[in-house]
This record gives sequence, C-alpha cells and structure tokens, in this order.
Amino acid sequence: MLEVKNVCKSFGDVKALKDYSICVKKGEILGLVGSNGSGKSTSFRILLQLLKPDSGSITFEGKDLILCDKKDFGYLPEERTVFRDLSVRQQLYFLGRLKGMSDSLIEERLLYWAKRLEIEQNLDKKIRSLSKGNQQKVQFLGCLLHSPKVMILDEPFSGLDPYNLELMKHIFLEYAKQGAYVLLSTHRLDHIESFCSNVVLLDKGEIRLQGNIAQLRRQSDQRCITLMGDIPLHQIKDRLPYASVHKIGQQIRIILPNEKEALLFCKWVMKQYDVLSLQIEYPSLAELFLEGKEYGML
Amino acid sequence: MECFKILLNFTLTRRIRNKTFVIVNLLLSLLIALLFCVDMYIPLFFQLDYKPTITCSDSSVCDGLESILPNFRYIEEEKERESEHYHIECSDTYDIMVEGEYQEISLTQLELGLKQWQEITLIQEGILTFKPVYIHYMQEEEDSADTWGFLCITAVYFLALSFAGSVANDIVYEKATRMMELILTSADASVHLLAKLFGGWLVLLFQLGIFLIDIVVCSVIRYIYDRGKGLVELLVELGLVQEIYDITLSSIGEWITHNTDMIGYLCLALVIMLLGILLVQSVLVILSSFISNIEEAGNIQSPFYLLLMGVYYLTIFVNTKESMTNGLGRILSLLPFFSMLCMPCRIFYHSLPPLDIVISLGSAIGALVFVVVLGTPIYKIGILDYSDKSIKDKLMKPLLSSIKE
Repeated sequence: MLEVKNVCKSFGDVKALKDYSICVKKGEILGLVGSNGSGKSTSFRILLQLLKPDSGSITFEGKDLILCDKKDFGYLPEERTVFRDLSVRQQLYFLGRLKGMSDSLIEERLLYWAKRLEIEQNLDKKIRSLSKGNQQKVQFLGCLLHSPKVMILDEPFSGLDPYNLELMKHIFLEYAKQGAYVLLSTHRLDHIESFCSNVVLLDKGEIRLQGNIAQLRRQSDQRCITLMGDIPLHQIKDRLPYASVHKIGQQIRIILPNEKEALLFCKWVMKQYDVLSLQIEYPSLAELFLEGKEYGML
Repeated sequence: MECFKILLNFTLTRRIRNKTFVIVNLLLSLLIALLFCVDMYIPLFFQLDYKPTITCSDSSVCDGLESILPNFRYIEEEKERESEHYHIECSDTYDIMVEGEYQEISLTQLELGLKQWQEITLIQEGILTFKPVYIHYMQEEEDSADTWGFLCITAVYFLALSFAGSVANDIVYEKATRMMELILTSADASVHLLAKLFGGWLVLLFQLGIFLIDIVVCSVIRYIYDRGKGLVELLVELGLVQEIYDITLSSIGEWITHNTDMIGYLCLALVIMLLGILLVQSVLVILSSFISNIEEAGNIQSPFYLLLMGVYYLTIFVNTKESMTNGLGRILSLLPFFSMLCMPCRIFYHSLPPLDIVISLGSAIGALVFVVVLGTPIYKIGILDYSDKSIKDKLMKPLLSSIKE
C-alpha cells in the first residue's frame, strides 16, 4: 500500500499542499483531478522524492518513502521530456541504465513495449522527427521500461488520438492488474471515469473530494436526464429555470437537484412531447465537479 | 556511483561523439597542419621582403654599407622606417642608436658591416683613422614576457568562457526540456552536478589532448621532412626567432634537460588553469540551475560573463614584470579565480617562489571545494525551481539556507 498522511508543502507564502492524505492499494488506479496550480504535480514530485514535504508521512509497502528504492517508481512528466536530438533507442537506453538495468534487459523490454505501443519502426529515428503522439508513447515507454511498482503519470493522454488513447488505456489497466500502483493526473474527468477506480479532487492544495468513483456518483442527490426528441429548448428552460440545461448535438442534457424533480419532469415531458429516448442517471464526475465549483463547494 | 558513471558517460558521449565536435577537431588538425607548413605556401601569396631600416647622418657611409649589407633598407625620411630601425650617427665614432624593437642578429651584422666598411675604405682610400663602433639603446628593451603573458591570459579566458558556458548550457537544456526531473527520479542532484562538472572538465582535457597530439604529429612529420629548417628560416625572416637553430633529436633533448624547471612550471600553470576553469564552470553551472528556459539564460549568465571580462582586463592591466613580481599581479596570482590567469604569466617572468605556488594551489583547490560544497544544496533547489520569482529571490534564499547548513 502507498499511503500519504497529512502532508503539507509550502513554497514561501504559497501553500501548495494542505493536509494531503491519499491511499493507493496494489492494483489500483488513482486519478488526481484539479485545475492548474491545484497541487497535483507537487504531490507527484513529493512521491518521487524530488521535493521534501514540510510535514506528514509517506510510506510504501510499510517502509518510509526515503528508505524505498527510487527504481520502484516510474514517472511520466506532463511536458515533452525528451532529448530531441537523440534517437528513441538512445534515450531509452539512457533512462534504463539510470534505473540500473543491464543492456540486454533494456533491449528485451524495449522491443516488447515498442511492439505493444506500435513504435517499433521508430526506435532508431531521432525523437524530434516523431509526431507528438509518438513522442508521448516514447515517454510512456521510458516510464514502463524498468517495470516500476509505482507508476506516476502526469497528464498521460496529451497529444494522443482516440486510437492511441485506447491503446494506452489497455496497457494501464493491464499493468495495474499485474499488481502495480498507478497514479495519474488529468484535466479530463471522462478519462478518470473510464480508467480509474478512485479519484481525488484537488483545489488550491486541498482535497475537496475523494473516494470510489461509483460511490461518489451515487452519493449525489442530483440526477441527470438525457433526452432525444423534437422538444424546444426554451420550453424546458421555462419549466426548469433552476436547472442546468444543455443541448449536445441531438441530445438535451438536464441536471436536476434531486430524484423527485427528475421524475416529475420526466412525466411532464413524456406527456407534452414526442420523446424518442429518455434516460435518468447519476451525474458524471465532470458534472459533479462543475456543479461543486458553481456552488462554491469545490 | 553507478549513476555517476552513467551520467558521466552520457555527458561525454553527447559532447564528444557528435558531428560538430568531430568536424571542429578535424578543422583544428587541418589548421595546425597548415601552420606547420606555412613556409611552403606563404611565399606564393606574399612577397617577404622585410628589411630592417637604417638612417645615417653621413650619406657616404650609407652608400658604402648598402653594398656590404644588402639585407637592410637605407632611408632618409623618418616616416618610411620599419619598426626595427637603426640610426648611425657618424662623428669621431660610429654610434648605432637603437630604438624600440631590434634583433640581435641585425645589430651584430650592422656592427660588423661598419667595421668591414672601414677596412675597405682604409685599403681603397688610405684613410688611417679607424673609428670605434658604439651601440646606444634609446629605449628600454621590451619584455617579450608581456606578449607571452597576454597570449596566455587570452587563451585561458576564452577556454574558461567556452567550456564553462557549454556545461552551463547543457544544464539549462536539461532543465528547460524537463529531462532533469526524469533524471532526478533515478539519481541524486549532487551526483548529477558532479557528473556534469567532471564531464565538462574531461571534455576540456580531451580537447587539450587532441590539440597536443596534433602538435606532436605535425612536429614529427615536419622533422622527418626537413627537420623544420624551412619553418625556422621563415620565423627568423619574420623576426620571431633570433637565430637559425639546427634542430636535431639531441638538441631537443638538450633543451628539455636545460629547461626542466620551465617545463615543471608549465605543468603547474596547466594544473592551476584547469582548477580555475573548473571553478568558473562550477559557479556558472550552479547559477544556471535557476534558469528555467533558454531565453532567461542571459539574465543570470550575463553578469557573470561581465565579471569574468573584468577579471580578464584587470589581469592584462597588471601583466607587467614589476606587478607580477611584487605588486598587485602577485597578490592576484595567489587568489582563486585570478590565479588561473595570473599564475601562468608569472612563469614567463621567472618569479615563482615555492611558497607562492603552494598558496596559489591551496587557494584554488580550497575555493573549488567550497563552491561545490556550498553550491550543491543551492543546485538541488535551483534545478527544480520553475517559479517566476526574481533572480535575487531565487538565489538569496537557497544561498542563505545553504550557508546555515
């Protein structure tokens, strides 16, 4: 288990993390969400021992973090962290050697992961000649190469097209299933929902929301209605002046404060209009986050 | 230790095994080779008709000397004279007035020429008065040590600037591309700093080694070709060497035997120079750790370059025999940072008491250790600092906490 307890970190007068506590179990993927400057990268840097916390404790598999082997951690930074003038193979050999791997092991793992990530034909190309997405894959390979127990991924999906996103998603899930601890940060809440079992919402260094994603969604009183049909939007807005109403393509998405309101609206709309489809569900993580922001809860 | 080796190896590979380094060194080798056979192609482009000038108070003496000494130019007007110029005052004696630059060989020729001309006129015209020849130095002899010192200071200054700059820029590049963060997840910041400094120093040694090998190879080839005779003749003709030496292996050996002290001092100067360059490199690297991007580099590096330029000009200013022996130059040669420029100059003035050597070496090593020990915690903070704080804020806090530690 990776356990962070009451960690605080300040940079001068700015408090980057306040009483930060998280717990990641083996095989779990934890998603960190938060706007820029919320403390995501600082928390990662502390876990990677790049920064020292001002207070609090961190333990990994029962040992204090300082006593842990740095090689147990793999890191994918947010920015393009590559030597653009090197070839993919040169960069990965350098990173692998730094992690104490032998050249033969590096080559073996390199070929395996390059094939999985579909970049095997680019191994001897200069990194600068690769597309943004392929550069991101090279970074990801660098993070995986030494088979770390803990994988820390800061915005891992930037620059990836939907196909490569799915490819990476499968690898994350597979890697976590093998018993790794995966922590990832992203601005995209839909990504968190599809990859992670648990989520931490950070705002100005403080944890605002934390827990299992399904549970968090169920805990909410709010209900979301997705409608399809020939229904004038202004009619709905007139009927529900307090609700959030959006039209996305042919669909209308309505967020209502509770289940009772949702049921009443459904009855009304079914009676008044020709509804093609109607669905009531718990709000998504993104909606929870945005609603929380709107009401000053987050 | 393993990380240190990997980082060092990586630094050396990146700096040495690249096209630019290979091309620059091939060009350097070509340039040295061209310099070693300069006597073969210079006459194709330039007419070497350099002759020292003579002015004479008696035109008949001038006319007479012209037939005896054709390798001089006889002029009347002051404006035309070369930097190597002799004036003969003819009265009861022949007084050769020497001003500024002069060559011993020209002076001897002139003296002999005057005596020979007197003998000729004695035989031809039966004049019995034989006038003695006197030489008068009108100006204090210029010390060639100044020139050698200047060359040395300039070379060390540019070496320090370029090598320290390249290591610092390496750090800036790694930080700007955030590779630094990735490296530091495996290696300690102090290991990274030491690997970079040591790597930069080894590249400098490697470069000097290539330079020396080029010189040795070209010298051997030239020795086999004509024992360097043509080259020595050209140097004499240009006034850079005073007499034609017969270069043989035994004469080289003899020169080494007679100049062991000089060779020892040169090695010592090299050590002090390398320590000084490493010190400059360390300071610049530690300062550069606070630079987040290439555009910002000038803000922090420029004041340091200006300071280094100030040190350069100060050293040139104090590069006189008097100052280097017993003045400001001597004091500066004992201080770190300045010693790399001043100490090599003192060798040319032959003023190096053993105590000065010990103090200079001790202060250079001490300063280096001090900078690395004090700088490591600063470096650790700097390389992960991407904030927009002012340079003063960025530097002062880590510096104070480092001093406290």
